Amino acid sequence: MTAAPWPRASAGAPDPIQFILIQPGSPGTTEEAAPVMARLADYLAARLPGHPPVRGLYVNTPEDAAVAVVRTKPRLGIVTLPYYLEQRTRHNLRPQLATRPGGRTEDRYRLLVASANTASSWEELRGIIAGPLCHNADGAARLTFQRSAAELPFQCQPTERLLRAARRVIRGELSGVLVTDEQFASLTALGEGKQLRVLHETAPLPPPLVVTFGEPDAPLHAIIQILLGMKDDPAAGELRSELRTDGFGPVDTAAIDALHRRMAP
Amino acid sequence: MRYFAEFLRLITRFVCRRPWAVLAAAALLTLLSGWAAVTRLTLISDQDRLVSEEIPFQRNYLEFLRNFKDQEFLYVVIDGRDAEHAKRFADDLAQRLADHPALIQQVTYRVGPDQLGDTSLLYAETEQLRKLSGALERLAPELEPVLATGRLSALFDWIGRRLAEPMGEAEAELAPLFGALDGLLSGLARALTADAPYASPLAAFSDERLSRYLFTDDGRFLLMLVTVPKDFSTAQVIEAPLAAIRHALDESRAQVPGVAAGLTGRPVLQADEMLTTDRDMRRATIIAIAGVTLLFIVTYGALWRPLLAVLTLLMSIVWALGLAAVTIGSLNLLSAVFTLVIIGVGINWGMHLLARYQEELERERRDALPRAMTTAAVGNLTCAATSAAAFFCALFADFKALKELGFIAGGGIVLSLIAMVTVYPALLHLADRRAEARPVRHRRMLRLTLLNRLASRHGAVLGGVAVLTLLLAPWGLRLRFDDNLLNLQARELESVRWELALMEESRESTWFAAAQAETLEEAERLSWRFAELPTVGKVESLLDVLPSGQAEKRALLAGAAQRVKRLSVRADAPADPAELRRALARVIDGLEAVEEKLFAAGREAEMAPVTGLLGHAQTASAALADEQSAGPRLASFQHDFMADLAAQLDRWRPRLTPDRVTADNAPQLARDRFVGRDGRYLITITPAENIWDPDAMRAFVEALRAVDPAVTGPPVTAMAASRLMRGAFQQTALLSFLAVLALVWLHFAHWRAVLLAFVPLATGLFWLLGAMGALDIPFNLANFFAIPILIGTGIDGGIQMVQRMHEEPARPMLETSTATSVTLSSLTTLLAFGSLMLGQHRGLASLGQIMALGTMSILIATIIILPALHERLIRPAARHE
Repeated sequence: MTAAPWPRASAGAPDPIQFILIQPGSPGTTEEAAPVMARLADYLAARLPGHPPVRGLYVNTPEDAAVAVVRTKPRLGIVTLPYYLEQRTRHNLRPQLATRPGGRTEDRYRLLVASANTASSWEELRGIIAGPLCHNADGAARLTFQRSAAELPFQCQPTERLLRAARRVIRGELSGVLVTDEQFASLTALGEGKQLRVLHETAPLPPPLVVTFGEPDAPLHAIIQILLGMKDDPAAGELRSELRTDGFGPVDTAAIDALHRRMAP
Repeated sequence: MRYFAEFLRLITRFVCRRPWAVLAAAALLTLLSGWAAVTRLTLISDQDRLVSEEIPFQRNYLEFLRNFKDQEFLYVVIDGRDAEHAKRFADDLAQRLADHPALIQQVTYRVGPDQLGDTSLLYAETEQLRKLSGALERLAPELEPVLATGRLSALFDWIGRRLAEPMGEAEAELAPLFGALDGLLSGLARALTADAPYASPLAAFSDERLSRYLFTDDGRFLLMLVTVPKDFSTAQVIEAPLAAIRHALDESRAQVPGVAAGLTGRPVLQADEMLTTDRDMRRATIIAIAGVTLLFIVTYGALWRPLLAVLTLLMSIVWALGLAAVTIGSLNLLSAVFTLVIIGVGINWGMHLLARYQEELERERRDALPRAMTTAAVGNLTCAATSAAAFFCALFADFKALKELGFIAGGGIVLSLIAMVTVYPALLHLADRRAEARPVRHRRMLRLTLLNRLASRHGAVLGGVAVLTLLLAPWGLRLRFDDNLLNLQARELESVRWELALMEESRESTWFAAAQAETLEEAERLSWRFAELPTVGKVESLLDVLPSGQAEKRALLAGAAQRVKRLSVRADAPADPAELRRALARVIDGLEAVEEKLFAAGREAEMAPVTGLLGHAQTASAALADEQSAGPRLASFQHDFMADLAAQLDRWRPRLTPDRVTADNAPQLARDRFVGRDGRYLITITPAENIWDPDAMRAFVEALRAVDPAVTGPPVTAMAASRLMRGAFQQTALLSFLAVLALVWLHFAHWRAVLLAFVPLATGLFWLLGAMGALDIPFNLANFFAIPILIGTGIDGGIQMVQRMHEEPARPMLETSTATSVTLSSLTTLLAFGSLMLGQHRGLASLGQIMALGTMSILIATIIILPALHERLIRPAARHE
């Protein structure tokens, strides 16, 4: 991974409100995503009372996320569901909003195998499966198969190159790929999707979450309200498109609680 | 009249004594006329010559045309909604047109390096040049050592490293490189897998990319401006080039399907107009001759005598052609209609003569012909004189084309009368000499018995006529004049459709006004003033061709030149397949990363080119695995590519140090258009509104004239010519009325007879104006001349009928052969001109409509009102006497 140029507040300046976008397995680098993060930060700052400084950071590996959380002390984050389930206790993550990736209000994870693969259930599958979700393999395994990663009959290997992994599945070099609903839609839109089949599919799951690191204070509440209003704000149109979401919605706390129960050892 | 009757008697005597001599002389005259027509008579299809050059606006326009190269473009209009498709279509068409150098002089649809030379980069936006300079500043130092090695592996290694770097600004910077990379990778893959000849992959860097296509401001249409040689000796002027362009258009439509395109512009509209009018005129002439002959034969119940009249008529047409050949030497668009005039009017003398002749034959065979001649021909003379006078009055008009029509048609009428009083009697004499022994049996001609009964109820008839006239009066007030020249054209013509589309969908026009300035400063001042006018859409001059911000652009390019200067390409480096394979692996990895990013961002549509690149790279990489067979092929490809790259750099270097563009060294294409032979500068002004709308045209031209009274161009000349024609028509109508009045007075020398003769004409014209208002048939520049023609020909019936009243006042008018022949001669006129109604050209068709309506109105007035007046005013007294 490319070393992340962590931003630091200069001495004497008011502490910026730091947010973090943790998307393990997504392509691109912190540097490439910086302009979009800056635009989101500016959007939020412009709407907060007193216009306090806001800063955003994008990371796409759990390792970078671990370092960034310690160094930048974010107060708000947009995180994948497996990451949330794995890290919620450590970082005191509190779900506040649900993202709406591509307009979706819920997600589903799918295990795809080559069309020629004869396995009739995931339990029969062996070898290696890959996917961006495997960056948080334990969380992804529990959400998808209700087992810990160690209990699976195959290995869940993280990758940022889902397309390459899918082609490797087609060529028989990998056993399968684990994808979100959005990734599945993108794959099926390509020729590659026709050479894959769904071996296993989860029930509806919450989409990635907007979380606070600890109890939200007044500025965070204000940010949450601003994010909630983004959906209907024409000025946020381009930003929504860059974030590949049509806005944010309320979180389904009952569904989250159910997941907590399921994840309990 | 007595002297003329005597003169006619002498002629008839001579004709009857020496018929063969008359016919021989006529045949000789016909031969000479035919020879003169074939050898000397030309058709002037140049519409700019319809108006005399002595008229200031026309002189101004012709001077402008002579000063500048051909400014009357043919416009290929291409639907530009799919811009890339439109460009492909235009490129394809241009290539096809280039195959006809003799027929196509110039095609302008894209302005690029070919036209701009080494100054081409000065025409780019400053921001573009800044980016180019910035990109070179970053890339040149990196490329310098890479290119110096001359090895493809070094180049691909560099590309792989660039692809692995974070995307952002660099992504936009690299975008143009993707096209070249695709060419390079596919070329490499082809070269390594087959013995394919080298094809340059550097098209993406070709200066052709700087070309700008001539789209309308709203991008709705792509325009191709075509100039072609003009041959004014042919009817359509641009017949051969037009056919070549239309053929090429058909081929391009097949090659690049789904693109709507068509041809328009002033020369095309004029050519199409010529084609339709020519076709309409030919058809009308054939229909007129056939119809008149048939009508003649059927109504007279004879075959040979009518046929001999038609033969005489045709002979007189040839004489008229001879007259035109030895006097004017040419026919124009207007004067070409003279044949219809002679057919419609000239045949009448034959009809009147034959009617009288057959009537005299029934009475007394001996000397029937001389008797018929001296009675019928007296009326004929005045009728011919009135008809000819109406046309000769056009000689006083300022409008050259109308003058020529007046002369040829007037002269033709006189010639047809001469033929009818010499040749036709000679033919009748010879034809009937053998039949003298046979008893005379003529089938009764057209009978007007019902009308005769009507005439006896003269009070009711005259009352009815008065009511009808009053009823039509309000409709006459609705009559309007339509100045729109496009409304004269056939509606379904391709050129008309595209002209309308261009105007309605894009507010563009193929018509522009032109001003000339002595200096560039004056051109700038005038351009500003024109541009400020609300009626003006676009102003163009040489100033638009001088790039803005040249100092800054040249400074940016100078910087870029310095960076490129250091680049040198080695073309003889050894090739190493293994090294290249390693470099390609990096490229493949980089491309995959780009592909993943696009995939994750949901930009599936943008993935295809990257996926294509990956395919080529993987093919090339696989081919390189066999180093032995790949080695020589790689060496050859590497050498060709590096030499190609060096040549491209050499081509670009002078463009990075361009001279400042001034009026003196501006691109030739622009100088040809905007700098005249005398050094003056042209300013073209395109209207903002629909130029075919007469009000918009007037507002446009008047606004331009307020800025520059010497402004010219098609809208200015069209408006001035339109005014000139209207004035000429009105003047001719008035003069012909006065001339006819004078001739009728000379004929009858009695006010009551003159008034009676004028009643049908005046009433018929009044009815015509009412009917035109009711049927919404406006006057226009093609049909207005019908009024003088109707005055000249419409009086004939009145003259013939009143003449007959004088000869036999006690006899019911409608029982005489005169009433029948008046009816028939009106029907021939109606048939001759009415045949134009079948034409596609709406102007000619409307001329046919008005002539038919007018002739019918005057005929009805003649055979209804005159007999009723005769019954009321003349006959009772005559019977009493």
